[in-house]
Amino acid sequence: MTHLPELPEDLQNLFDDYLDGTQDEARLQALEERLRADAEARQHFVRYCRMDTDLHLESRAHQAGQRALRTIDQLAEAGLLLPERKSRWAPRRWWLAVAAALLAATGIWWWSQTGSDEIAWLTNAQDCQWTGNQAPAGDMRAGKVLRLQRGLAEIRFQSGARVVLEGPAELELINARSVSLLSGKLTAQVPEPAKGFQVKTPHGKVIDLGTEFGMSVGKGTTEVYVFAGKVDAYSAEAGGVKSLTEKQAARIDAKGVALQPPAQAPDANQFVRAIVPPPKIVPQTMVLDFHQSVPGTLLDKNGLGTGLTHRLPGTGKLLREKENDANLQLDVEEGRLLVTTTNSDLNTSYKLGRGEYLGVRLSDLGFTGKEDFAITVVVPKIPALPRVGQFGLYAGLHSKMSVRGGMISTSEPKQYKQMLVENRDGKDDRPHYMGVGFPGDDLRLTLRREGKNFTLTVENQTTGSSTTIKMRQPDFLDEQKELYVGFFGANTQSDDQQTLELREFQVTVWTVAAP
Amino acid sequence: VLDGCQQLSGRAGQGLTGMTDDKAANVEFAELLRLHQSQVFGYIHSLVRDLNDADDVFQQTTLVLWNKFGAFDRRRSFPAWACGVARLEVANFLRTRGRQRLYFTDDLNLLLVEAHESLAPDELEERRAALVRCVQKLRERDRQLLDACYCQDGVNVTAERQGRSAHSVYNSLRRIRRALFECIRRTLVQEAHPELLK
Repeated sequence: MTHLPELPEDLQNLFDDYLDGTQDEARLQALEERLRADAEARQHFVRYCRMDTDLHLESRAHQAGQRALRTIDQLAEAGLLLPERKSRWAPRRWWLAVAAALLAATGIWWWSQTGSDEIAWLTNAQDCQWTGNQAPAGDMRAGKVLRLQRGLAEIRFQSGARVVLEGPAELELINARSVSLLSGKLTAQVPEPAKGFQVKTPHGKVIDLGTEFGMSVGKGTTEVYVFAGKVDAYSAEAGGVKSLTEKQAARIDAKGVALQPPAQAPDANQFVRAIVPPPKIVPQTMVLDFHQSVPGTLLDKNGLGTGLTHRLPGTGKLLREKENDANLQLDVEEGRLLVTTTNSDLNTSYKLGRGEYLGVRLSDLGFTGKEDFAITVVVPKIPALPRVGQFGLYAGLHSKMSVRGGMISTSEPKQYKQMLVENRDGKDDRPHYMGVGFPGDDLRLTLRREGKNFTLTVENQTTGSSTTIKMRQPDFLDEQKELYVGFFGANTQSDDQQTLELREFQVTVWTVAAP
Repeated sequence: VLDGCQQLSGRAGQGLTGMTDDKAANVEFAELLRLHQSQVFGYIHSLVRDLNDADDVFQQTTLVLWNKFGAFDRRRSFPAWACGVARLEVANFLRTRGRQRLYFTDDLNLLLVEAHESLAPDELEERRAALVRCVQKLRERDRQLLDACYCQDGVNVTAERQGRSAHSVYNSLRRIRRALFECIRRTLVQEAHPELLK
């Protein structure tokens, strides 16, 4: 068993705010951050919440106990239960255990045993908006009308039938084997035991004969499409019935039931047959530790492959003419890449032909324009670039459309400012500055895109401090697929070239996996 | 305050007649759920923070668990699996409810699964037993306040009835919770390692 130290007061205050619902967004966030960062705080948290739960449950047991005892007595009389011999642990929710045991033994949904009259329940929902915010919750009884404004709701009936309702739609629950679709669309999957499941509409009804089908109610007509199995379709006004089988469609209206020729049949794809779970995010990461030469990549002065594959388009044109780049030196022993700065500037597109802006193309990591991504590099013992000199990380389409962040030398000698800036049409715009750094510091830089924001994080491993600058993503990068990211270094307004040491270069794209 | 709540202890529904061999999985499920439902319920309650909502989500969760039990990998921890399912049900529930309150992110909910899993049934039971004893040690006035806030009227009505501000009632509740939490901690440490508290 875990024996924790005494609960710190500041944590308790956060917990209490949470439990009492008296916190604001900032307090919740503070709590979230503490809990994320600190496993011991989480241990305290679950125990503190547990105490609150127990206090609530003890009070509830007063009222529920009597009711549940009566149920047990009835079940015991019916021979369904034997008294337990010994119980060291008396579960608070023991009547639910009874229910679960019943369910397990008999396959009957337990509430039919305990007197609840629900005939269906919501098993899945996606982006649902219910009229009047009246989401169904434990009240799906006969006569209930579900009014879905938008989204997908999956409803499971006691009979075993499963319906996916697509908003906007209105569905009335009649019983576990029958519903009325007043408007909108649904698909129904009816397993063998629920055969005979009916969907009524203002124009008629469809009786399932063990199948999967879709229905759509419009003005004056109901359309039916059968995915598999067989249904009977009836017209309310004209009478008459038609049987439909796989891939057949029919229209029900005042004139009767008409089978639709394939050309006029409703498109099967208009129906949503299942709620697809939310996308899974999979990070695609590329790591360069510079411990080996990588063939087929940008070459250093000795002809070793640096592992970096692309320059920011519009830069390094003159460097590319010779195969080997004299400004680069891969040191596989030490695991580092030495980059010597050149006299260039993205701002005003100055001498970019010799500019060192090198990295990778994001699409090589599965990037398609929407994903979040991050580039990280460690730069130990940063050299002193005279004013104006700069180095850091970039993300851009080409040299005239980019975002870059890093360190820029300032009017104070031997001092850097942290900066994050966008470059639009070749000109720097909306510069953000924050914090300082000094030659000799060990830095870890991260340029990250999250949603519509860019952040630059500078972790100063010498001072132990960390700062983050944030800015909105410039619109010219919205949804762009052909993005290049990487590292740059420039002695922008001096001829004093300096050599930067790069370690642990890493690029991650958070791709969305197909479900 | 809690005396009346104790009458249920020692009685739990379990054991069924008329079972056949192919119902073994059913029995296994019922047994695992019985053993761990308190953890799962606690997890859900800590996230939705309303007892009735927690009931709904718990009910839904047990149904999903039952439906998916065939696919449950026996090498996994049942409470971790069950809390994982509960986490998705909580997310669904909050989504359909249209979040009026503030809730944690799903990332944190995931981290909390592990923390709840580590709160084993034995410890839960010992904490609950300690809580009952600690409540009995409270001053009469504090016990009454706890009873009023948890068992009867809630904070706002209690405050009104006692002619106090809700803020002041919350403060008292916090003081009581702190005392109870520390009392539970000391009780458990004392039982296990009396030397630590000398």
